[in-house]
Amino acid sequence: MKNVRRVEAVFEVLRIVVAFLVAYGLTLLVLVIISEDPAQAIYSFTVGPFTTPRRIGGIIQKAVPLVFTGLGMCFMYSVNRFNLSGEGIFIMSACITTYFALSMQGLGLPKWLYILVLLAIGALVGFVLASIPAIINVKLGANIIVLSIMLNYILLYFTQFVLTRVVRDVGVSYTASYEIPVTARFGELIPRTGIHTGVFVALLFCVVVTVLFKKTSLGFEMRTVGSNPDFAVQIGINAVTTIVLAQALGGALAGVGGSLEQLAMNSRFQWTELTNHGMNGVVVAVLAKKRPQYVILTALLMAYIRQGAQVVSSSTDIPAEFIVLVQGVIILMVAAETFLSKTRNKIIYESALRSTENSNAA
Amino acid sequence: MSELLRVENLTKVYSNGFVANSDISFSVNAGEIHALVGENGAGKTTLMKMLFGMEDYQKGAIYLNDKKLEMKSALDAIHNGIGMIHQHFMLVPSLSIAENIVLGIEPTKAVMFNYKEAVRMTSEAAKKYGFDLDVTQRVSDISVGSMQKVEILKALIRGVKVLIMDEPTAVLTPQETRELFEQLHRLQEQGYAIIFISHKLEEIMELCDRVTVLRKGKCLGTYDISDMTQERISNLMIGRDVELRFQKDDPESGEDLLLVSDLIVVGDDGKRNIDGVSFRVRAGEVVGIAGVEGSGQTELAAAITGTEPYHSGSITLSGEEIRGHTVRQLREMGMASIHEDRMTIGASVNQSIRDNIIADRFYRPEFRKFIFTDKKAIDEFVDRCIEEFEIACDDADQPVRMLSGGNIQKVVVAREFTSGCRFILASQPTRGIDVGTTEMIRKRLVSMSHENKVATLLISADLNELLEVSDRLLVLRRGKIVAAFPKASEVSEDKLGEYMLGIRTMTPQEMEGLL
Repeated sequence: MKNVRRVEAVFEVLRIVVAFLVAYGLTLLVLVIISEDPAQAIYSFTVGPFTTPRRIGGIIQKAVPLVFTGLGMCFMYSVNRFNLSGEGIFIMSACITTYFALSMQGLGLPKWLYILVLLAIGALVGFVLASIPAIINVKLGANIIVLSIMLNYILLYFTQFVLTRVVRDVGVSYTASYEIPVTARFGELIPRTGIHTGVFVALLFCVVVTVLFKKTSLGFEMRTVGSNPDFAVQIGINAVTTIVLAQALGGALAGVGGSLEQLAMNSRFQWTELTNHGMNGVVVAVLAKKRPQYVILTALLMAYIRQGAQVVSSSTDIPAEFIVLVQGVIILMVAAETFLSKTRNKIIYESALRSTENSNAA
Repeated sequence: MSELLRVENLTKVYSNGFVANSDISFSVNAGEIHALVGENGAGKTTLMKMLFGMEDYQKGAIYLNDKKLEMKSALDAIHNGIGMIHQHFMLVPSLSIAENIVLGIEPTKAVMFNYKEAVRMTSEAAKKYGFDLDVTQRVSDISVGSMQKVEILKALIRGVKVLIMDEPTAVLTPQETRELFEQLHRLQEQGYAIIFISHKLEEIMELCDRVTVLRKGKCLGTYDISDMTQERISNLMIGRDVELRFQKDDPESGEDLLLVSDLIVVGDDGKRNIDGVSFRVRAGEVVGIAGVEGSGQTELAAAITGTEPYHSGSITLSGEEIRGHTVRQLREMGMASIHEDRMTIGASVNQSIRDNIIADRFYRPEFRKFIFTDKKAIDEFVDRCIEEFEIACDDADQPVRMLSGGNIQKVVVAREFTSGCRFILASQPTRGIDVGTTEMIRKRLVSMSHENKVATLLISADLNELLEVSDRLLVLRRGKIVAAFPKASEVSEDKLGEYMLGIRTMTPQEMEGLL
């Protein structure tokens, strides 16, 4: 039986690795087909991200928000709810953070407290917003995917209202908020790389969430409810509370991510459409096998691909959007549970047969 | 007698690596009732499913009349002449018996369903095989015994020659069982082959001609019943002697721990599933609840454990009303429960043995350090449980789904029996599990009550178990208590059956003081 567990575990990882490699290979193939200069395009895509310090920094910079949305999706997955509100929460919390950053200017808070308060506001925004579809879902049985995607659009248009009517700086020629004071912003960690001090916050959250999943009662409750809600109820776990709380915490993670991205990367709030960070978080979490301890690795991986796409679009004739292909194929292949299952079953069958023969011989 | 069905070297490995059947060979003759026995986990169900085309196999072959069968589905099996009567009936309650029987092979007039022809066909068949049925009745209105007849007719009318019956008597009362046996003998005379799967050895001795014994996925051989005794069969099945009956003393019951009074539970369909039930369970005694399946046992258990609401009346545990307490609070107050459905509710099969055992107590101080879980304390505790309850596994990390049925139930009882409970509700605690584990669970239930003064409520479909383990016995029928016996050891199965079936009912006066 130990054998079986090993085969199952190996195939679980193998499935994800193969899915990723197939997706990556397909992307390269597409590059070759559509590019005027395939060699240059492939070089830019694969090696390009490592060619200058700023590009390497770009990988890390891009990984930071993915860590947050990826961790957030781990919470959603832990209770088996495909709550996609992280997408809307990301932009919403960036917007609300901007509003409060501007309105708290006069208080003269020290930098660390200023930022801490703003991140907490982002977390609160995410916590409250993610629980809206979560509660409607458990209480009324409405589909969580529909609810959360609708919520995303409501949130998007709400931020546009705030942007154009509340925080807009009429002094600039484009649509943007007033500038957020420097005291509320993360500074550059390594000069000329774009790597900001926010990476420490991301690392901290990776550790905290991993510990929460593995070592706390809430982690146990989420695992049990996610794995068998009827069992959880029968054994005395409040399934409804756990399901809602887990999603609210997932939302809080996305909220912190949105806040931090705003305070680290942009001096003004100027997003006018959804940023796709939430959806990329789904891919990050899926690649990490829905476990927070691997999120940092998969976030870096996705960031590397995005950075590659950016290099491709700046140095060749191909737009960065082509990498959506990678995400699509990965999700498709990982979601297909039976992918590789025939091979797996064959190996399990053979090893089981061998062990019975051994026991017969003995 | 001529050989009808032959199985050669059938081997099946499930995708979790479990070798359910290895090299099974046996044959069944026309006009024979052939018993298939083995503990649960021995591979009977898998073998049946392969015979009925529901599972594929990696090695071996099935022959019917010396023709090798290639079956991809149950439909193929039926076309080939193999039918199966499932333990849980596959009938449409809102349709009549005739409609149920012809479903899929409906007679037509032009393009319309010809109901008259269906009634004629089915009543003729019922008469031919000697089944006493009014085929125009709706299935929702007929008894379990009649439903089984409908299932058998359904198979026969499709031209089946081999009938596989999966524990057909588990849902029947002793009277219905006798009737079934007579019908099976009639089918036997007409040349049908019947594969009879049962745990009840006395029935096999009475009914069958030959018996094939399975143990741990292997076939031990086929024996003539006339050469066998119950003891020899059970010996073959288990590989050792088992004490099938055990002695126990009268209980010294103490205070009332569970008090149910005038309980009414209304289902979603507006039906009163529990209709004015009152009884008590005292510390130190085992109270058994008998009844035909679906008499309200599930609803009663759900109300007592606080997982479903009740509508009027009261249930108190140590004097405190169940309503208004969460399941966790009830468990803290000393309630434990073995759920009847161990695969979906009693255990979380995709989680590890460890997670399953600590699921009701992970938050307690002894398993925590500061705000974190104390892995060392948990591991020590779980390892002790695995040892004490002899759970056959690799280690505590193994997912429960990889264990056999008996071992899964051991995981469940390891949790419930060690929770320090004062009241335990055991629903079908030994259904479908091996004799060794059954013996262990029954003994523990009795010893916990008699020695540790736990109040035990036992709900079971196994009359033997009820008579053996219980001190007092109640009979539930259609949501009402219709009989109460102060001494379970003095009740016969037949008498119990009469009350379960509704042939007899006790008056409230007769039951006074016995509830």
